[in-house]
Amino acid sequence: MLSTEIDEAAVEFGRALRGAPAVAIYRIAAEALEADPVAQGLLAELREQQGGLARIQRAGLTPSHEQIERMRLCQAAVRGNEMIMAHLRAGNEVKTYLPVVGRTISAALGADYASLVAPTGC
Amino acid sequence: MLDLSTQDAAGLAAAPRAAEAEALTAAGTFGAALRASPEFAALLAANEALSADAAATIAIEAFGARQAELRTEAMMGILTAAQRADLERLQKAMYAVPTVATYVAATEAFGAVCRETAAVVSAQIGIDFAANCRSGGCCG
Repeated sequence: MLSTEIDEAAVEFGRALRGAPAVAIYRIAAEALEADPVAQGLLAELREQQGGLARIQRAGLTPSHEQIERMRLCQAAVRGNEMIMAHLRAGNEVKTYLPVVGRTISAALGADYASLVAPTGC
Repeated sequence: MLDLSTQDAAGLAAAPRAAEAEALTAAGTFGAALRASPEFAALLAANEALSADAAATIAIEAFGARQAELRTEAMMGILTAAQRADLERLQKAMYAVPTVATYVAATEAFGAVCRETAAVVSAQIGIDFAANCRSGGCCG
């Protein structure tokens, strides 16, 4: 259970971080992607193709030329979808930005915040 | 309605920069609040006591040295029962030193506070902050 002071500081920090361009753009891109049925369909198809190929490889079999071609077409369609690419770019931006924020917290704290909060296994 | 024609390009570009600066300032304030917490004070005190305890240093070094010796076997999963028992004995002896136990408990307690704060921040921003705030990321 967090103390009131720490809880308030975390909420206030979260609020400010939410307004940072990298985070705000990522949230917009994520919401737009979620609401786009074409992009969702392409991603579902990509997952299905990847799962199919993984199953084939796990079974020690070689995928057919047709299966590989379907995968290539699916990947090309995903790469050509602006909504998916915008989400990917925004994700990369936010993954570059958040460690900068983490280092700022660590500098003020005098200890490595990112290590302290790292999920188990990292 | 806001008339964009009255705003110059420099003014428009300054808004995101201001938001970014505000976020970094808030990060610093948040870090300072964590530093002022009783859990962090306890961790600092535990660290100081640990550093001044010769018995703790001996126990930590003994465990660390044996662990380093057996690192390859441990990584390959080929530790013998005797080697495993030896490591467990040294680890138990290390944790039995009061200053070590206090330090471990203080680290756990402060880590728990930090993880809780990360969950609060994640809820605010809609992104897993704990997994993404370290350089190189963590979980993708």
